[in-house]
Amino acid sequence: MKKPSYLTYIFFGALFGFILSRCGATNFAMLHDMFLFRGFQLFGVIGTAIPITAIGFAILKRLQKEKKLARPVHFPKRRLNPGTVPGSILFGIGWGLTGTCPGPAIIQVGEGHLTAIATVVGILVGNLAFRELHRRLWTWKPETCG
Amino acid sequence: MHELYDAVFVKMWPWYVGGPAIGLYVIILLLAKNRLLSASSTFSFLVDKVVPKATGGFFDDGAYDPEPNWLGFYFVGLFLGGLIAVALSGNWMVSDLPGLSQAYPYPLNIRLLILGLGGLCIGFGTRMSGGCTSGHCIVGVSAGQGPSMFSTAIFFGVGIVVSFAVEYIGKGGF
Repeated sequence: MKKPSYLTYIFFGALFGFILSRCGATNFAMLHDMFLFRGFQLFGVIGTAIPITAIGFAILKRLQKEKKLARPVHFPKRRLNPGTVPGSILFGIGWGLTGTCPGPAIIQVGEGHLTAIATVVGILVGNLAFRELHRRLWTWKPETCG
Repeated sequence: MHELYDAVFVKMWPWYVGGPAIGLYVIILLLAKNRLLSASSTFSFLVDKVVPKATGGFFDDGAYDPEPNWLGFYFVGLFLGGLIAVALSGNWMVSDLPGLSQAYPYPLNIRLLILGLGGLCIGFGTRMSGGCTSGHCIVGVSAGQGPSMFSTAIFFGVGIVVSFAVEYIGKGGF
């Protein structure tokens, strides 16, 4: 069996961290300005990232259908569940308060903004809290991505 | 040469470079490793590693995964990416988040408390809704997934409302 090639994932993580850092997506002030409609940079970033990804997905789907990909890939398939609405509202509250989403919170610490450690710890505790509450109270299956 | 270095490593990338770079990145990650971009699940992975679950597998969907620990390494990579990006720009130093003290003109421990509480909402919410800006907004929306579009509309809307409230309160509105 092939040995896992985890170094590649460090590389890919670092590349994503680098890109987000370079385009201002990890910058509290820029995100805050986006939400207040004072700055266009991050609307522009998200607004171009989505169509480019969509075109890429469409091309990959086509190639996969024609069996032209060396290795098959999978595409996201999402379902609504009881967690979609309340979870998204809570994430929105956190996103607005901290000016960061989960990926950039980690990247901010690497950038030297050690105050973001509070955000990272908060995310870890909140994540665990949902897991434990869900285990005790609900039977619906939460979704994952990745 | 010096100008090229500045454009890549020092000056902020314009949106029309950064956005497409993210899009290409998502496609390359999928082609190279058959992984869909996701950031919130790195936290779920770490939590489940450190505090083992009593029941139910969050990541067990029955499919064989040759590299089950990838999210942990991805997490480390994200940290290093931020470090490298700022180190190459020549500006790495320990500092507060830019603009944080303007939005929250309160003592540092209050700012840390706000970040921690916000983090709690992010961690709880993203695990509950199954994704964040990466998994729902960029990947899910691009793939035409209705639930992701719904989720993205909600967290964007709430983010806007909360940010206006933060700004209003910070400026002494209440």
